[in-house]
Amino acid sequence: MADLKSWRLELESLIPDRKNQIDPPGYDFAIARDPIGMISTNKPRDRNTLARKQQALYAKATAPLKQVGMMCFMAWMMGNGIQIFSIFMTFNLLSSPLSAIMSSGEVFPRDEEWKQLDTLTPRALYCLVHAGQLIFGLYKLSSMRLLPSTSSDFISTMPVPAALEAAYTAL
Amino acid sequence: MSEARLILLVASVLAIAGGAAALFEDQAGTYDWYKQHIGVATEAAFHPSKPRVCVATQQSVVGCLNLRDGAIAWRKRADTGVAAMLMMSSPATMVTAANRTVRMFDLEGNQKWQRSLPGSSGPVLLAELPDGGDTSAKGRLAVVQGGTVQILDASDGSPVGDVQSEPVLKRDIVLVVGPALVAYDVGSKNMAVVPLIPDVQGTAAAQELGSPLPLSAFATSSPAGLAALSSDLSALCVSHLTDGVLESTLSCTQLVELVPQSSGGPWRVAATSSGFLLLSADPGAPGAVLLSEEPGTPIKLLRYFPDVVSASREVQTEAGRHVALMHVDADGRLRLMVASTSTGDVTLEESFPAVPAHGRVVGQPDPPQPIALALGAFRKKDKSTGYRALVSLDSGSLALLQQGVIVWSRDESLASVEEALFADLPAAASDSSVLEAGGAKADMNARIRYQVLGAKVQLKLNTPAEAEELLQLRGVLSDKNLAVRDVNGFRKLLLVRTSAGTVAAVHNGDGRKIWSRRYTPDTAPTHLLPWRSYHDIQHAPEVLVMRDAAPGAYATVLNAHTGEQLWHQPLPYGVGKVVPMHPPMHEGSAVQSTYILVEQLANGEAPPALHLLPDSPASRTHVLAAQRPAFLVQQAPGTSTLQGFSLAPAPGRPSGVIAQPAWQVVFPDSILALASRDPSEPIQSSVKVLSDRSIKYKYLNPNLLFVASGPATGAALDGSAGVGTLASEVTATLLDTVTGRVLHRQSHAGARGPITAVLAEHAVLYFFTDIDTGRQVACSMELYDATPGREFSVLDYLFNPNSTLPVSSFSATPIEVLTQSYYSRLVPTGAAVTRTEQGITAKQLLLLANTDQVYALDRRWVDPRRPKKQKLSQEEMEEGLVPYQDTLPFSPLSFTTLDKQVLGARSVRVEPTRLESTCLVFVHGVDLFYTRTAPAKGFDSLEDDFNYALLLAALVGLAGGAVVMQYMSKQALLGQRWK
Repeated sequence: MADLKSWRLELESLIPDRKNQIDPPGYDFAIARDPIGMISTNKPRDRNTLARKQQALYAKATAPLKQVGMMCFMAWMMGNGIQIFSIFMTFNLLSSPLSAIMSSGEVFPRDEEWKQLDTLTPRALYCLVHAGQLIFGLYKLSSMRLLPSTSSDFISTMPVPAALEAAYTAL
Repeated sequence: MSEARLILLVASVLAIAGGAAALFEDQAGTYDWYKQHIGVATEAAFHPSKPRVCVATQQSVVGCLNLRDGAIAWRKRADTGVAAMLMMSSPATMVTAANRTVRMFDLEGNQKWQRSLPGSSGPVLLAELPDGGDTSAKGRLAVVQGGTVQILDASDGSPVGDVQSEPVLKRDIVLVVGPALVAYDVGSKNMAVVPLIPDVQGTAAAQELGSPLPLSAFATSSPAGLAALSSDLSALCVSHLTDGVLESTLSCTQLVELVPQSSGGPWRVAATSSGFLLLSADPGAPGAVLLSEEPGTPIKLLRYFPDVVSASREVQTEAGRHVALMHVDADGRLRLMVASTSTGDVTLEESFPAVPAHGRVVGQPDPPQPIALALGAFRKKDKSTGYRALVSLDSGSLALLQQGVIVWSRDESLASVEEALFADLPAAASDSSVLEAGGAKADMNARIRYQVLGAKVQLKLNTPAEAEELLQLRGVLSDKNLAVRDVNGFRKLLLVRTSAGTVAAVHNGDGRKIWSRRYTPDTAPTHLLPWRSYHDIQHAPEVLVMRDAAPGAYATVLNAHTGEQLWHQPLPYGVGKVVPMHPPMHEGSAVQSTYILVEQLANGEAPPALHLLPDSPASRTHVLAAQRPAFLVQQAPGTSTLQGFSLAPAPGRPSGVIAQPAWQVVFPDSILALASRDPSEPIQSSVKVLSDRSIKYKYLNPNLLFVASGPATGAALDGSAGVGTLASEVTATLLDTVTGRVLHRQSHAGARGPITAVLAEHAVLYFFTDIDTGRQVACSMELYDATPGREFSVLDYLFNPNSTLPVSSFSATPIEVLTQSYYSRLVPTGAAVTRTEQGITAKQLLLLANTDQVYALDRRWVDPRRPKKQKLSQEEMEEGLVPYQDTLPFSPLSFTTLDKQVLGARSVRVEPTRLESTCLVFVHGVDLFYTRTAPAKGFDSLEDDFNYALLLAALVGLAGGAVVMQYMSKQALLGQRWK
């Protein structure tokens, strides 16, 4: 497909009904499809479309719920032993929600056409679902005893207290 | 994807490498070595029928060596402290008396019988009774101890007659003359005669012998009679034996008349079949005299041999009766003479080169002098009689001399190692120094071949010949014998001090001697200690060699790499104790060890007089101005009292320090064992975190002393069982050595010593004997700080640099002692703890068993918190606790000494390496054993024989596979597109 990116096209090779033809320069697919929309942007939106779009966004936001639940169940099934697989699993448990939350802006882009569309709440919901997995991951870490959550986790490197007196045994 | 597989592969390879538990057969000897010794021979005799020579040695070993190469055919070691040893001629056997037992071994090493000694104390005399033509008296052995006499049948050890008690035999010198015993005190003129076999003698009455001159300790007996030197060493007094009766008066002959050539000094007297052999006991005027003596005629000089320093026993050959005489030249060459005892004629005179020294001999030692000489005869091919001699030299060499050549020589100088100490080797300056140091530079081909063979063996594609070649190549390519230090700190110099007065440096790669320094018996050192080490690599470490007995006490500093003497200081006082101080003093890049010398005092009442070594203003400041008061604790001589002294500055005193009595603790019984913490022991953490995240603070007081007291070892018990045994109690006491305060005390009823104790970190382990079961009991104690309401704040710890407060013995800390007892199948005679650089690695206890082996016991087996139930909770399992069992586990794979027996093992020396997982272990006794051990397995290193070729092959294979697969997938995709 790489040759499609260049704008070289032999006119002799142009055969009707072949798909890999190049759109002419300046051709915009969106304008071609909906010329009215381009002409009158201030026209009020169809309320139904907006509600459907909003609904779709919510569906998108709650879609990972199943996957997160599955992950947590699997992690729970794995037990608290520290082996290579449970380490991978826990790492995944922590890293995937983080990356999903970080990239949530791309999942819920601001729609310039539908300004009144609420992307923030579904995005927050999406983040909340992933945060649930993150919290479960942390809980998993804690039950694997990998979180420095008690004072005893800090004490083991405490230096041995010095003695004020020195006795030498000549025995 | 291929990357992930690669990581997995590497991880699994590492996991396999780290998980290797025990040693495989082909790994034995790759980094451990074992040196068998027989000891410095004091008596020797050639085997009557086999090509062997049998010896009895200073190290209480009896054994036989192969005549061809000097290899040990067999050997047996009597328990510590052999009182007497005898080589009997008929039957040809060896008899030892040790630890209240007489044992007889035949010349094949089998113990024929053993019997308890007749007396309870005092020196033991073993004597073979002459047969005297009477068949009933053949093969009998007389055992004399402390005025009691027992005659034993040599064939089975059965007693012949009852034990005779003869108080007249409690004299300085006891001799067996014919069928009678003769006893006298040195300097007296009277001798008591006790007939040994009353029915043969005809009379049981003791008789007296008189001498015109007082007698000295130099005396001998022969079938012909009795001879003794007069106490002024000028005359030889003889009493003849005729028909089993000694002449009632000794006749004395002036030695000057007999031997006009001699200068006249102390002589050792030995008997020959036709007279006496006198050997000068004065090293300044060596010489030997053969005298002939027959009843009715005066003593006659057969021959005088000037310069002879050693003589053998008389040997009967086809050509007559002969003795061997030996002379040592100034350059160490040996001259052997074989002389007839009946005529005094020299039948053979041979010269031998000096016995080769092992390693470099430092200093200007005198040529080694013979300690023992044995003569053997053999028949040559031309049917004439040839002679061979075994000579044992005071340098520790044992050599077989025959026909002008040294057939073999053994180095036995390291058979009596008393102290050992690890030191760093020199750093490699360049590659050439490595070569000079003895390392073989193997070519690349050999290395590649080694790796290929290793891969083949690992994949089991090898032939037996290839496996053999692999082992050989491993030896050739191993860098363990280089005389330079390595990155991991595995290669070290092992400095040893022997009781025979040798200080030597041994390479820990194969146990070869690098240098040795010999001292005469009156200057033999008694201490070997670290002195100075340097952080920079240009300087060699220095060691301190000390002799403590006054007069003649001294302190000498030697260069550990060359053995060169750097400094020598005679000490005008006797040194009772040498106390190392901790921490050592830092002087620039040097770390200087400092010692307090406690002067030997006659009475134990006065505070000890102290001296410093080195005694410099810096060391005085270091002792007293280290911002902490110093104390000294010692056991009052001859008592069971521990005394504590505080050290105070005394500018007027020569040492600048005086000891003032601070406390004393009197123990009702005798002190059986003491153990204290090594102050230089690295401790990683001062707390123990339990599985429920609660914190236990370890009690890490460096001034802690463990004292075990109880009835003295060997003391008789009140009763045989029941109530009587319960009265015998072993008490374990934990003392604070600064204040003398008893921190904890616990008693074991029905227990007794000997006790072996070891104290490491916050744990004590001690072994005692349970009288009723007769079993060995291990008692483990763990000490924790039990200060109520002790809280730990993370914020305080993180942000307050002064959050760890120093502890003082004067502000008492309550302690919590967890304790648990176990039966032990091992009977330990000594114990040590493994030690690693940071102290992170779990420790193992190295128990020196009475079977001369070292057993490595994991600390978790003696954890006092082992729960008394079979089903453990998750938390308990997580903590690594093991269910309690009354007997400690015993695994044959846990012997640090592998399948070896370190004869007479005396002590274990542990040294950390630079790898946290690994430490070096040296076990010494008559034998030497060295190995490397990783108590928690080698978690930070690959095995020495890790096959890099296989890893490389796997990597290349994977990379190649990935390239091929990529190409193939591209082709397949292209093919699909074109469809």
